[in-house]
Amino acid sequence: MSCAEVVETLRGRAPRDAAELAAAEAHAASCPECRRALAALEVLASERARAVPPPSPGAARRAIERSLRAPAAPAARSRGFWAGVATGGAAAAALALAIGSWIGRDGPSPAAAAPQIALATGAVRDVNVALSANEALRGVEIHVAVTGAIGLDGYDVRELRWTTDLERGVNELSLPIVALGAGSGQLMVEVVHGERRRTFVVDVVARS
Amino acid sequence: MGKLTVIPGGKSAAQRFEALVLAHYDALYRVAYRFTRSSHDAEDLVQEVCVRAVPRLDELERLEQPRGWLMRVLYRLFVDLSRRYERRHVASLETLDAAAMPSAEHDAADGAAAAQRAERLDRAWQRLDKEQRALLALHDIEGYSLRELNELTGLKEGTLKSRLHRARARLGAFLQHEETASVALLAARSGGRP
Repeated sequence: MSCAEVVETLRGRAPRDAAELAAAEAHAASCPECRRALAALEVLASERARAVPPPSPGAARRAIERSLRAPAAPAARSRGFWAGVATGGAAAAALALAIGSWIGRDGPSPAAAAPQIALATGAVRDVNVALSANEALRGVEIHVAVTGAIGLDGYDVRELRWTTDLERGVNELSLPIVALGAGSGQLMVEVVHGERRRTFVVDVVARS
Repeated sequence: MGKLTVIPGGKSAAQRFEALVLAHYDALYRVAYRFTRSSHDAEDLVQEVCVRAVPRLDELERLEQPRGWLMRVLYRLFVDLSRRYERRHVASLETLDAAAMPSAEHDAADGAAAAQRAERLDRAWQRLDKEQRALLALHDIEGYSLRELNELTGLKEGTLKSRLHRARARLGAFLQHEETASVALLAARSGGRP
């Protein structure tokens, strides 16, 4: 019986009969290492009963906010959208998240008729734009603009432009749109890679 | 061909990320605290996990149990990040003095003794390798099974058993040393008083 097995037997975690138990006790009595391990286990058992102090107030929210604003971790920096967001400057950093890739043949937007959403004046709504594609791309330029009665919530500009690397798969870009007053407006998202360009338009009707 | 989807009122990625983190924050913090024995360090460690989770949000949402991924990252960050989350412990002379002073209050005496024990464990804990701390915290304090440890660390069960035993024996030795040092210090202080 090894020292590890002796300790497991004595703490009741290993199967044992009377003979094994006696043998383990005899071994431990003459083995300083086993006695030290058993002493440590006793202390650790009392730790288990000790309550963990709670995190400081708001710790979880702070972790979330800081993570969303942090540059991508080194492993993901070269390909993550967050890298693009970070290089887009402070304004772009508030954009939520888009991960994925885009590849497009030149041509008109796939939506012949622009999708339309309605908003009450003053209301904010996240508009999620998804792009599906089949290969990863580097150096994709994203251009977001709003016109008419809508704005980008949290921004004092009506256009944002940044460059990012995109992955193969589905893209998602979340844009906080606010209705500034009654009327109509448009959200335009343009994605450019080299000579390729694709533009998406969403019509927004703001009602008082 | 690209496809545009508009989801009015749909959750933004930031909201989805928040929901993911809030569902697992307490569990991550608890284990991080067991690793580090410090609230501040535990919060920092969980924050690092969150930073690494951001670009993996889609993937994590598809997992049946994202906590497993988050815990693996927590474990690796703690074990691998060099010299971070290393607390520097200085013996609290105030605590030792309080414990050495005769007191009619049993509760106070018990509290002082408990504080002493906690300090000894703190110091002994910091002398362990970080992998040893993590394994003991997960298995002997938090009750993770060997199978769960295998999934989390990638170590085989036989390896885990022998490493756990070495870690316990080492911790026991450090605790013994701390106990001896404390007794010697208290004796010296008592002898020095008029």
